[in-house]
Amino acid sequence: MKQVLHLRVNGQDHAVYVPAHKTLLEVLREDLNLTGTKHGCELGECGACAVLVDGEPVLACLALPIELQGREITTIEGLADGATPHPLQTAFAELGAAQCGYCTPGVLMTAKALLDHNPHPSREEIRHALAGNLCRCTGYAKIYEAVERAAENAKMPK
Amino acid sequence: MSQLANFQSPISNLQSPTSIIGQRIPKLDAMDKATGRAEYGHDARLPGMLVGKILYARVPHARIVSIDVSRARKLPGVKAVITGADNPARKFGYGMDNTPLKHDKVRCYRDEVAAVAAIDEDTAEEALDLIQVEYAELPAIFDPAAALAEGAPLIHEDKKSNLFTRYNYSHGEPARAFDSADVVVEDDYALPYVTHSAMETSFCLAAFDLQGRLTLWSTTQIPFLLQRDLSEALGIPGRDIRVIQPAIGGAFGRGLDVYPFEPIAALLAKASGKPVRVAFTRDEEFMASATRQPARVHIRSAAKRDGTLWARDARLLLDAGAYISWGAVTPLVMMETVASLHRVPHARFDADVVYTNNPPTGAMRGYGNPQSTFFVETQMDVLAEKLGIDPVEFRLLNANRPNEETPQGLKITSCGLRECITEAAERIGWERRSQVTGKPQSPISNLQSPIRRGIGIACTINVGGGARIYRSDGCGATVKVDDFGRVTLVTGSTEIGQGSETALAQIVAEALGVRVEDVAVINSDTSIKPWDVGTHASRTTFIAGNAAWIAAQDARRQILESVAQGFKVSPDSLDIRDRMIFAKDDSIKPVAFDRAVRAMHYREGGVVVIGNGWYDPPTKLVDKDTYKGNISAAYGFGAQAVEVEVDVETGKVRVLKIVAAHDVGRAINPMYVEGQIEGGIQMGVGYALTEELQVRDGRVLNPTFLDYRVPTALDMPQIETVIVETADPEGPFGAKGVGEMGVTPTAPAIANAIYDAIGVRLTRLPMTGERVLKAIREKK
Amino acid sequence: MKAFELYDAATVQDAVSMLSKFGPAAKVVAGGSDLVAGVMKDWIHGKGMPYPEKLIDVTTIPEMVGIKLASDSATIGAATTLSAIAESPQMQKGWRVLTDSLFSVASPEIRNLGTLGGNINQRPRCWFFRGEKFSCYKKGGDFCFAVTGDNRYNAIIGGELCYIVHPSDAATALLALNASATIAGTGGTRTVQFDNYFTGPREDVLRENILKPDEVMVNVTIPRLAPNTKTAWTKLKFRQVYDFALVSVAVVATQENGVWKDGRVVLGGVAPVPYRAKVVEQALAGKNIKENAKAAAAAIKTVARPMSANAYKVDVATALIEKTLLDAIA
Repeated sequence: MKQVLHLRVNGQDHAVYVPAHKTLLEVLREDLNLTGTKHGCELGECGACAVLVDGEPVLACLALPIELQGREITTIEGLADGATPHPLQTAFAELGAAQCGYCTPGVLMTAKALLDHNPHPSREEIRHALAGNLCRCTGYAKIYEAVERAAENAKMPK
Repeated sequence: MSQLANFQSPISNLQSPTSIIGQRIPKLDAMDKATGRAEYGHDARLPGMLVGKILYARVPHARIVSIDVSRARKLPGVKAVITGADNPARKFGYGMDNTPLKHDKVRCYRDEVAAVAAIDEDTAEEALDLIQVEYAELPAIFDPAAALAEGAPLIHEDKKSNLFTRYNYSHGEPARAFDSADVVVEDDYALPYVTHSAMETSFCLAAFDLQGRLTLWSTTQIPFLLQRDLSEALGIPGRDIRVIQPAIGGAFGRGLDVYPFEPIAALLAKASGKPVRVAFTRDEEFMASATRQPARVHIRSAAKRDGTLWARDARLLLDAGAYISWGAVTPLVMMETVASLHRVPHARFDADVVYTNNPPTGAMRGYGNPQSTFFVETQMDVLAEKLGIDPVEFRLLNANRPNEETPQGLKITSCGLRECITEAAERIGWERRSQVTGKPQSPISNLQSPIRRGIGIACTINVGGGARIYRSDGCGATVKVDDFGRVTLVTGSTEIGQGSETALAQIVAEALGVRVEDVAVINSDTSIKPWDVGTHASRTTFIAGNAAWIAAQDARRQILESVAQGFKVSPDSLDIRDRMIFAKDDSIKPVAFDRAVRAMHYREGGVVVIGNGWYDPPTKLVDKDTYKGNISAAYGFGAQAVEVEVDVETGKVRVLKIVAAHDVGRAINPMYVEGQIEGGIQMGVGYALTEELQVRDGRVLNPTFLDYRVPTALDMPQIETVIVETADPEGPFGAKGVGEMGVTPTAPAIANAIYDAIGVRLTRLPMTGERVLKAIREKK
Repeated sequence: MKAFELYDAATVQDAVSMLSKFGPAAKVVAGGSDLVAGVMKDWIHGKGMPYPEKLIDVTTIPEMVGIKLASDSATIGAATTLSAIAESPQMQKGWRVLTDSLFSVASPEIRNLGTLGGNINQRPRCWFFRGEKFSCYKKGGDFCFAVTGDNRYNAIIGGELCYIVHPSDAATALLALNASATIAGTGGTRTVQFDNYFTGPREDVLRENILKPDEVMVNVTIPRLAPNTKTAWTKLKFRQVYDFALVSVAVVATQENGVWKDGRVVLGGVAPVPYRAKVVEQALAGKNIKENAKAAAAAIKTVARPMSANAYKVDVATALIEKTLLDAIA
């Protein structure tokens, strides 16, 4: 049974007409064409689809959009400030934190939530915050460095 | 003779003060990936595109009695349902034993029995549920030893036995060497199924044009070989098949074979008249994509009392599963480690590759080397202990040296193995070892602590200059320069996320005296790019790098000749740096690079600047009987030293630190060299401690990331990467391949550290807590 | 994913009446990390486990979300997220064993979505139960594949017919804290001690607790700890994130001069229910905890009945009980 849902994504309101059992991941990718959020396992076991809901990292593959009406959803497409990349994006690009890049959007969104709460995290705090994001390319080392660089460089945009 | 001989050696250019070789330059697509804009296969959409889904066998070995698809065909939204009966049984694959959909029988649980194309995922799933298949079960074999027994049921009836192939290698006099040795050790090892776990699952999208030509978007690593494979599987001429690679979310060897889902997508596209995408779910990825080969091994090693490594003799039984892929060739790499890691005067290697009803295995990062390095390098420690020699000293004594040919015929040119061992040992604090070994975590505060610490080391040799597994190990390249000074490298090689295209852009920029941002790399479409074998064997930077270098030199020559002609000077007197062409003796007024090219275009009788390159390394296919020969134009080396903590009450192993020192020849881009090594180590830590695809009676019990334990951020130790540079004479700017060797020594180094900590030798991977506990108990 | 309809419940009464109206085809969802991902997406079903057709979301019920502190207890709405509880300073101060157990669940993102009630009432993680190709007792089939198959992670205590282990970390800690649950159903509201909440396979192999199809867990009440009570939590997992407990231990120990007066030792990951190790508690009664921890922990061996491949879990449990006891009094 389809129904109309009102979702606020990256500061913009959308009305989508979808069945109740569609996950946020499916709606973002298929109905809103926001394919930056990645499909990794669809079972909540890899973190590739992490997005922010009211600033907190949530797995889009588990979240049902019907429950997220009226909430502020932020995806990788909404991370930059217009044409200006977020300091995390610059740091990830400059320090080789993205190899195949498939886990990168989920890692970036999770890292953004961390820096928003804690602008100068320790290495240990970064590891714990990113614990749910699997990466198969980097061994995580360059990811930590990039988050640290971003924290150093940031005047974090609100 | 190498093609490179015709050109100025890239190494002589190293002194250039403007060198962009060795710089930590971000990947060309780094921002695309950091913004979510990179387009992966899963993101691709075509008008009218359908979703393809595959029905797999429900039994491991059976005759197919009947398949009823009538209900599925009637389901609204279903556009095509196909089975083997609708399609000729065209064989494909390395063993020419597989077909896209199965006809007479199924041989494992992942066998493709039927497929549907429907308007969406849910409809396709529902249609699969409506297909009725009747099987007549046959006795199944899951144990490779049982598969070789007389009277065992045949997996493939057209073959005389379940033995696919047997490798027998030897050098020296292994039979007598063990008698003349002073110390002999032997043990059995068991290596598990593990799998790539790329974050993006396998994907393809098939579409036919109105002329009946197929375009396949694919996560493959071998686009040109895939053309051929698809041609065989589909009965379409290769010239009518175009393969496009979108951004690939990790591959790690998964893409070295054709898989049935690829021709199936094409068959569905043909049957439905629409583009069809097949994107694996994660559990499908675990069950229906290939794995690294499990292996059972018996190995003996021998040494002389003075510490000379004397002999190795390894016997392997490899379970290929129900079909033969390129994974069946991995014994070639395994034997290289047995015969040529460190100096070994006498060696023997025998391996049987056997069919069973287990899921088919394939190629995975290291290609046999992680297995082989595990048993070879742990046994090095066993030997060292028996000899009473320190493991580091024992390795330094026997390590490969530069400019020597191994008895196997590997021509080692550059070799920094001893430097790697020394660096790794020093930086882990090897001299602390006697104080650390077996000691509780903090001896003062808690005498009762069940935690023990240990330090271990292991080495690796890996092909670093391509690997002549196929008749050709070549790669083509063209370099085009436009009249704005924009340089386009069209390379045959494939980017799978590792960053090779950026290394190639650096090589081309260096050759042409332009900036990296001036260079675009086109590498994703077989209808555009020149031929290449594929991305495997750590070969891309070396092989495609040399091809790009040659093509860039060709373009450079054309431009300099044109400028030289204008000024009536010798082209040799000119050079290019930072987009300017100048005379080395300042005899001419410098000319802008783009202007020089424009001048070549805008004139009567003008020319276009396109440089061509083809590089096939000076190597040989190994001899088909003796398996000897120089398979690679260069060899990479490395040593990893590890410090661990072992909890003797729970068996839990925590890796505290890994120092990875690798001889990479020269790092074109140190940032991504480190990335390759660090990523390899993550796979190595998983191989050592947590990853195992649990296959029981042919079934995968743990097809999820929950139960297949890829190490998380909290499981990874601190990694210190040390790049050892030896400037290989054949590599581009001295570079050697580095894609695989990060993973190979990690597991044996951890095993050796565990032994150091608790005095227990584990010979089976992964070294889970339960196995550590069991080993402790058995020792008592 | 299997299609379903989703209903937002506005009140507990609303949820209960929908459950009773829709019958067994309806299920409560309170986050979805197990039901949506683990069950619906994996198409796990069987004769005794039909696909839910209607999901009733209880996270929309205000009274079921949040923490209420009283002088003698805390009451936590069953639809409160694990993160919200784990990060609450009051909960950390008063019931550290619970917040530690919640921090050890899955991953940060899962804890942001998963709820207390969802964690307590999730289905087991036995790979035969979760495997599509295995029609096991728990799904209404007629076999336990763990008996003859790979049972390394299965029960070492209390298995019978079915050898799952209870997957919930929260439940293990709550049983140790002597908590109770408020349950609403068509017949009204009742309060059940966690002592009586979980049920083994012999009682009903198709479920793991007493919750009836028309009932909803509304909240959980945890009494404040008695004076001189120490607690500790240990969870062994071979991978640091995502993993369920191989063995977990929650200790709540009321002591006087180092002597065990009262308390609980509860194990997760070892039995089809969160397992209260009374043999260990009895071995400690009236004795110095530090001096007797080792011997008391070893008492677990007297009740363990390991299967073919999981005897190591008995050793692990023994070691972890001792460690957790010592951690508690440290």
